[in-house]
Amino acid sequence: MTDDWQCLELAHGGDENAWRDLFERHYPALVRMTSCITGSIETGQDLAQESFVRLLHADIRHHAGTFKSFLSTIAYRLALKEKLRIGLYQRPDPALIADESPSPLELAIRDDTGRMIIRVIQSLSAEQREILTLRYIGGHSYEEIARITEVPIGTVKSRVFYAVKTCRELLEQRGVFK
Amino acid sequence: MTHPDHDTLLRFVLQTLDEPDNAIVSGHLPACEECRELEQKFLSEVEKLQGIKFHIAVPAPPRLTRRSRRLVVVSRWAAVLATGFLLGYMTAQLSDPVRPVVVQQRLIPTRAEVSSSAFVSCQAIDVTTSP
Repeated sequence: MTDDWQCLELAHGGDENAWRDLFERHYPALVRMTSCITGSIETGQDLAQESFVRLLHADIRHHAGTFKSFLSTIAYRLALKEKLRIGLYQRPDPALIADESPSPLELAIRDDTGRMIIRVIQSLSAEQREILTLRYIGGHSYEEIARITEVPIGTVKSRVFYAVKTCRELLEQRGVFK
Repeated sequence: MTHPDHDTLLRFVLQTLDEPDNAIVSGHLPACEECRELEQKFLSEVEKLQGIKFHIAVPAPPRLTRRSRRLVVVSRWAAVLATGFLLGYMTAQLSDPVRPVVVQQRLIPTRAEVSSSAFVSCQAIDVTTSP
């Protein structure tokens, strides 16, 4: 398997196969992340595609991190901009959490436990939702999250702790965590 | 034996606990079955958070069309120059002092003045400036 940065370089040179490899390798993770941040699977898919378009035109010369964190930074910023645009910054209505019908985002998850976890994550504040998404859905390290969100690493760790604490309390109330 | 509280143990599991607390908890766990059980519980919960399985179909990638880097650079410089020119023009317009405008006013004689024998001419020109 070719390194991601090499694949991007090949894609810049017009290599369609390298571009497709890169896309297939990272697209699902980007959709997961952007969908959980925006709360919409369709928006997440659009933003993942847009992230790859931006990647193609991005200046990568001064980036020190991993390819994954570079791509996630693009997607994360697009997701925040989109959220701002469609006015999803407010906390979701608690009545929506009580509603048992699964959202399109939940339907994209295979098991009931996963659906319940996503539902609870969606009920958290925007800050907690984003930090949990980057950590557990995106699978980023604390250092990567600090770079992506441009927040000090100590703050990132603190936010992750409080987000997990709130999340597990809600999941205990719903009987998912015993 | 002093057990770490739940929050401290959760921080330890999440690897967000600073030293020396991290070393204290790490040293405590091998000797305390109760805390190890709680640690395992937290670990399994974190695994559930990490292990959410999504079903996402991968579509075709976006078209591989790349703008020439030179074109991008030239476009950016053109945009910078245009913005600078616009700002300069607007600043010049705002800071330009008010120039006096000469307005010519011709005195039109009234009927009485025209009929008066003493009237010679009222072709005087009064030069004033606009405010």
